[in-house]
Amino acid sequence: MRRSAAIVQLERQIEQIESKPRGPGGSVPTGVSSLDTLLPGGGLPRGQVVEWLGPRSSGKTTLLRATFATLRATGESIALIDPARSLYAPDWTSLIVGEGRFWVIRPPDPAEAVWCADLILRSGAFGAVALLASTHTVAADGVDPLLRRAVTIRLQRLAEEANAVFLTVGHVPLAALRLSFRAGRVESVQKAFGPFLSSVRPIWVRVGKRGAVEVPLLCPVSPSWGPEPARDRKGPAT
Amino acid sequence: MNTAPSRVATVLVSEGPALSGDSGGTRLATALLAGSPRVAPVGPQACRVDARGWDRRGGETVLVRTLRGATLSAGFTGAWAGVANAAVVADAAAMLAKQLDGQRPNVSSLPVDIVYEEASIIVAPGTGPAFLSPLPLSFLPLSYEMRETLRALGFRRIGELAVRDRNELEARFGPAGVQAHRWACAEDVRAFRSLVADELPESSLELDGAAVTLEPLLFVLRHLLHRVCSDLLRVGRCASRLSLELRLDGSTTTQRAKVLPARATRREDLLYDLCRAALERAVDTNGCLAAPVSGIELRVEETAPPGARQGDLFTGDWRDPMAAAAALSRLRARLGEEAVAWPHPRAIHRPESRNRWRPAASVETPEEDRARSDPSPGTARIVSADGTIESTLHLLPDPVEVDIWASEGCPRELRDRTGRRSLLVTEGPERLSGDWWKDPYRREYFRACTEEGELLWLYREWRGRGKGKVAKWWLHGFYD
Repeated sequence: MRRSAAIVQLERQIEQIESKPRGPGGSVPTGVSSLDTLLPGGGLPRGQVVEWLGPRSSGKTTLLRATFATLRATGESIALIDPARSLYAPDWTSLIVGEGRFWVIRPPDPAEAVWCADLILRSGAFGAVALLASTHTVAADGVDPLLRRAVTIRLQRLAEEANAVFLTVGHVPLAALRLSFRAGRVESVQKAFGPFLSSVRPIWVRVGKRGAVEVPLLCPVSPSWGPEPARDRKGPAT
Repeated sequence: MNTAPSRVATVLVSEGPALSGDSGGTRLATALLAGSPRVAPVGPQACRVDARGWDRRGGETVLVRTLRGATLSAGFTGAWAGVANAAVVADAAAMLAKQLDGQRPNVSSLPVDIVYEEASIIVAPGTGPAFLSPLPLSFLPLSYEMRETLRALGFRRIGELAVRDRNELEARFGPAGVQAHRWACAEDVRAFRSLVADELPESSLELDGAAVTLEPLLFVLRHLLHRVCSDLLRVGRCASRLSLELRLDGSTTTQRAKVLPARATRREDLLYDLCRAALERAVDTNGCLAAPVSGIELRVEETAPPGARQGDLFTGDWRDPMAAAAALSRLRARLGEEAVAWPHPRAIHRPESRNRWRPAASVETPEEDRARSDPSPGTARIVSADGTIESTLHLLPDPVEVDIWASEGCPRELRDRTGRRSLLVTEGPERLSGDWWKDPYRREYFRACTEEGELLWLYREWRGRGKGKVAKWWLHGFYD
């Protein structure tokens, strides 16, 4: 009996799927093309813990937001764990509209943050998860006590199984890939942009270990209190 | 809601290893949930179940087969059942079935229409008094004194008691006499609720002993959920809202908890985790309940059609939205509703009031946010065409008071617990005031960069009036 062309085509597609290597793969662009060119695979690798390391004001959260905005446009589900509960809501409203799904997890106890990451990665339903550091939990040696080696290994395995990007922002979990952030020095700001910070300030991102190229990013600082136009509660004029 | 005629089944089990221990009665009750959503233990070896609705599910013969099958599967060596309109008749039918012990009675010789099926007796509706009539008084749940007194007076059969005048018995025995006469006439108020929500599944169980810890409740909960989820599957619906009710021992009060999955579901494991989290909130640090619990009821309050999405075999990165819903539900159940949030800033100038997060109640993006969306708004607003990115602010949950040395109105040095830091570049002030009618504030905001490159958000606030006016400096946040 002659098989239909549709079945033959289906068989070919299945063969193609089976011929592809299984396991984690692919990468996620950060939204900054100059940085993506430095990253292995042209973006943040899936199925891997990525350290997002740098001092305060070095631009970690700024670049994280840009990366999530890029990822959200692809329709991926994203979770951001904020144990310090310090994210400013107006900065993140643009991430909840459109195709992708975005949630911020704000555990009442910072010690629950790792459990949250574990649960979210284990579900396999999220394309990217970021775990922000809590200022309350980071020890003097800079290593978050919640992200000891055994925990990091477990989270690495879960990220691999979920084929998700897992970013640890501000922690030192000893991951294979590290993005180091450095804030622009004041001299640089003055030299490049005048005496005030209102225009732009640079940050640098270093990929991997020594010898990597630094990427300058320009970050305008804008006032954060512009209110949305309030709804007119009165009805239309008659 | 509809009114269903009362129909009760009583199940008796034989003594044996399955009944040993404190959990034997509970094990019997949970096994019987296979046949009915409402079960109440009435003794160490007996349970009563709500038998309504089986006319649409194959008849009561199927019910007794189901009950016996579930009981024997649970490890009980013998089980007998009776089904009737009144509890007292069902009890008597089960006792008679046990006495017959497998010997099929000569049905034609009996004065009433009964069905003998699988060591069980089904008494037809309306024939309860006639069924009880030839049975001895021991088939009624009378007190020892009452039974002996009636025997001494010459009563042997239940029918002999039923034909007497009720007032006469009341005059001689008081309320106990009236109760005995009611039972003899197959009148029994011990029945399950007459109103049944036949569209919304529910399941309840009375514990054979009051529970003081969570463990027995969790054991029962699994069976209640299995029952409810089976009913949901049968009607092709999913639960979007459930309520869990704990009946407190020796009291008419109940404790209620809402269970809200992020997405309508009938997955037992997910609902179990959510219900368990709700129950865990009712225990203290020692794992004990605030009050002993005598019964538990699980009710579906709202259902929705299954919302499964079509997966794609040929795209390897397809992710299951139900798995996301399950994970978010677990987070909310354990950490509280506020823990999973969407940004929802208010149209208010004061930053701490503007910084508002609302609970993400579902996995779907809210419709109001969809309405405001444009093709790729997030990317457009965050990364501009020339590649610049807007800085992101971290707002401290509570502003931290700092010591500032200012020159010409601008902050130049910051002193706090960590030491002194020079503020090399500052921008400001940006003046902010308002709320004069309730909680007035007047602030001057500055952005200041430290030697280390930290970009801080500071403000100076005045309190008081006239000569008593005092200004204090606060660290409100930092850019990162």
